[in-house]
Amino acid sequence: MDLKAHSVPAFFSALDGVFRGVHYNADAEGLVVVVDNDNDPLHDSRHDEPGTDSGICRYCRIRKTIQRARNQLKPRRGLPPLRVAIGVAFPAIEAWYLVGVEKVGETAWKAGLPTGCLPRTRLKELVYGTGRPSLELETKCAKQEARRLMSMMTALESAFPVGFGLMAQEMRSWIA
Amino acid sequence: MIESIQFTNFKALRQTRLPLAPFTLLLGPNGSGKSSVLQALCAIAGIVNNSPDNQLNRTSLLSVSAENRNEAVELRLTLRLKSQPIIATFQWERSRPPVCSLQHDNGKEIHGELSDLARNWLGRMQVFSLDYCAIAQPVPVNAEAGLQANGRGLSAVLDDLKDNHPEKWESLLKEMRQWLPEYDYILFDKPSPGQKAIALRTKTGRHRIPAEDLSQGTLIALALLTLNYLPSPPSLVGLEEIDRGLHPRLLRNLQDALYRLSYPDNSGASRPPIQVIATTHSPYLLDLYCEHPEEVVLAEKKGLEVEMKQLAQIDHFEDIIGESPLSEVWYSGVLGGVSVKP
Ligand SMILES: [Zn+2]
Repeated sequence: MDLKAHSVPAFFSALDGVFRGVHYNADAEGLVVVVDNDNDPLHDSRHDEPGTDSGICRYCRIRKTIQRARNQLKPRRGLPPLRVAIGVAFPAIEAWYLVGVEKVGETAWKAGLPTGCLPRTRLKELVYGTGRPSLELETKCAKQEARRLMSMMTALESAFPVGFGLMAQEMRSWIA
Repeated sequence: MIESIQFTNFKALRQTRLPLAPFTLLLGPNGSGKSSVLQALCAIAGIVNNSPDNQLNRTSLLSVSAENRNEAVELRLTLRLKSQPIIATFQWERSRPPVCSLQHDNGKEIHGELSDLARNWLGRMQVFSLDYCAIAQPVPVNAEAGLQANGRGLSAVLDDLKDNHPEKWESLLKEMRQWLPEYDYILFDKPSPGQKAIALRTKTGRHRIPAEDLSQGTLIALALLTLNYLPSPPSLVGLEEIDRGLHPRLLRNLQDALYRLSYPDNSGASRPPIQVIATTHSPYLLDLYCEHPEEVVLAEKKGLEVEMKQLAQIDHFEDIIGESPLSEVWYSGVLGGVSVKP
């Protein structure tokens, strides 16, 4: 299924319904959710400890929304529970495309974003050569970079251990 | 009212069943047959009324995806009039004028009073694809008071209401002031000898704004709210892209006005209900119908086929719409009714 949201606020408001819809889709085995992190704090394993308030971390928000929806739904008839993998691109999906091109990962972005020495606006310029890429160009680059990154999974995972790493770990467990 | 339409090789609808309610909002990607539905209603009214300009020919109606050029083009309507089920079938065969047959649900042909009733009902269906230029266009002073498909003739309809139906005219003005609070009265202009057009009076300063200077949304809103006051009301109205040109804040007024057409009892009106089929792409409008999933139909392209299903028919619909707005869940594509990459 080709699922979309038109903005980050729309993504969060649709997520509960999207998970519910996929849960009841007998053809679906798993749901992969990927969102840009933008300027929110990046997920941290400390958020996993019980009672830790992680209200603004996007990873935790997604996980919580899905958990809550899952608890409210009837189990899938004759099917295993829907698997869910969450990817959060820090600060945006274009940062993943630069693996193998620029030596910039989550740690660098985390340090560079607030000080302004690694501005978010540079991302689009670097990837698309323009700050106003067309949808067509964005799609073309996404496909091209996805193909290129297939052979660079280890590098991608070590540059983005949280946002990409957790998703990759989860998806590997589906195959195992 | 029409309970369902079965389309066979009709335009974009090769083999599709459309379920209908007294009010139906139809959503779907471009090319999913929403306009074909409204064209079907026009074609049927044309056949029943024997009006040559509305009688489309078989070649133009035959679905491009029909298996061969000799395939039947057919519309099969399940109607319920005065609690009686009626099957109305319209067929376009080669080198013959289109034929209409009316049957009881047991297959027996219908004659007499019930047949007249059905034909009269089907002949009074009207489809609108409102165009602000046409709405603003002057009409001859002696023009008949009727609203054309593009909205032309609105000034004649309003003038007739003012002169001959003062109660309706007053109610319409009252409703117009709610929809368009910057205006307080509808005036009539003579832009050239023998012609009349509407103008609106501003509440502040009482300026006269001629139709040609009114905004697109104002003209469309005026035509839409007039639907409730037509002196000879249609049996069904089809409305193409109903939100076009309207400010999102007007959509709630629009919903009220459309509900008054299809559920006149709710507002204390004593006229017969007017069935409504409206197409839209507006997520805001869709959200207004989240409590009535039986009133929303999603059209979805599946290869060459189009499937049309009510939200209420989606398995576990109530469970799926948990805390998310219906519009966002629809936009995501998880319900269908959005364009999907081949
Ligand atoms: Zn977190």
